[in-house]
Amino acid sequence: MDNTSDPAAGFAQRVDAMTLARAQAGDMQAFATLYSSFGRPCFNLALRILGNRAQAEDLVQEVFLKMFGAIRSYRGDAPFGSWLKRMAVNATIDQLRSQRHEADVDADAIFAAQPHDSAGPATALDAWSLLQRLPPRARAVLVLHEFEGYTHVELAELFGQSESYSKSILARALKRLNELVVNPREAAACPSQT
Amino acid sequence: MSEPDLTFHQLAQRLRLEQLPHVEPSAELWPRIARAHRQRLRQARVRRLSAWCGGAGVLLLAALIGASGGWFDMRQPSSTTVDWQARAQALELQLRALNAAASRQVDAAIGSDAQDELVLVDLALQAAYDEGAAQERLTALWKRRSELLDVLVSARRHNMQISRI
Repeated sequence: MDNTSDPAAGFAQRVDAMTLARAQAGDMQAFATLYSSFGRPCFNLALRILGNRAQAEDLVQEVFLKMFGAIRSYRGDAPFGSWLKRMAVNATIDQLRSQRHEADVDADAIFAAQPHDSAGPATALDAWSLLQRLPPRARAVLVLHEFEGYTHVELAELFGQSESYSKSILARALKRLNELVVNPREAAACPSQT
Repeated sequence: MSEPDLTFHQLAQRLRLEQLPHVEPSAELWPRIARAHRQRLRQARVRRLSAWCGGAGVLLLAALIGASGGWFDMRQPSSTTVDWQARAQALELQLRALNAAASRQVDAAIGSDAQDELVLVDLALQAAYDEGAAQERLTALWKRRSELLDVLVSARRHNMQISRI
């Protein structure tokens, strides 16, 4: 499922050759056009994974500055949006890696580090708040796999781990979502369980 | 009794994940990015300019060293251990620095004989080069020039010390 695939709003938007050429020549107006097209999908991707608005905005800034510097090397082998999305995902993963308080490799440790929160299952079951109740790395795997269409092979490459790593985290994330959505009483009764 | 776990697809349908909101970033974000970009460009320009100036300075220095070295090589007397030409030039620089520091009143009084002879030696040196004179003749003239400059530098130093008391 990929609800960012709307060509009019997401990373799938096309960039016209003139804008691209002007951006490659360093034209600030062309950069503004690219931002108006891709700033929002980039921000939403970062926000869903990082769960923090200020961090997401910092990440968008970092990604666009990097893109401005690298756009001359863009040869059009992949659609521009995919190229930019790759940059955004890499920057987001780097951001997660820099959050050293979270265990890096072990799915159990990742979920143990963020047990069921005290908000309880009775709070609003909207998708956004549910996502925020997952550990950041699990949220990243879930968002990239289920929303952005990344395969486990690609996730393994992104995280520098084995495929079983992302499969394990995804399975645990789904289990926790089930606990929150389907069997909230059990989740409330056994908050230490992951 | 608990329900069986749902797949992500079933969860997504139940939670209407397709309606996950698309949040707008702050309106201030683009001006902030544009400012940061301009600042980076400015910093890059300054770095380039510094690197260019540094490179040009190094090249200029290398050219000067090369030129002076080459000049010395052409005229350096091979048979003597003292480089009278270089010594004379160094003394001339010292004298100029001392002259610049001294008062004009003192200037006229110092070593007028040596100054007169120095003018004559300079003319002789010029003539010797014009005529393609032998190295021995050139060396003798440079040696004399060096000695005269020694006298003038000493006189200037002595006079300056006296004038400061």
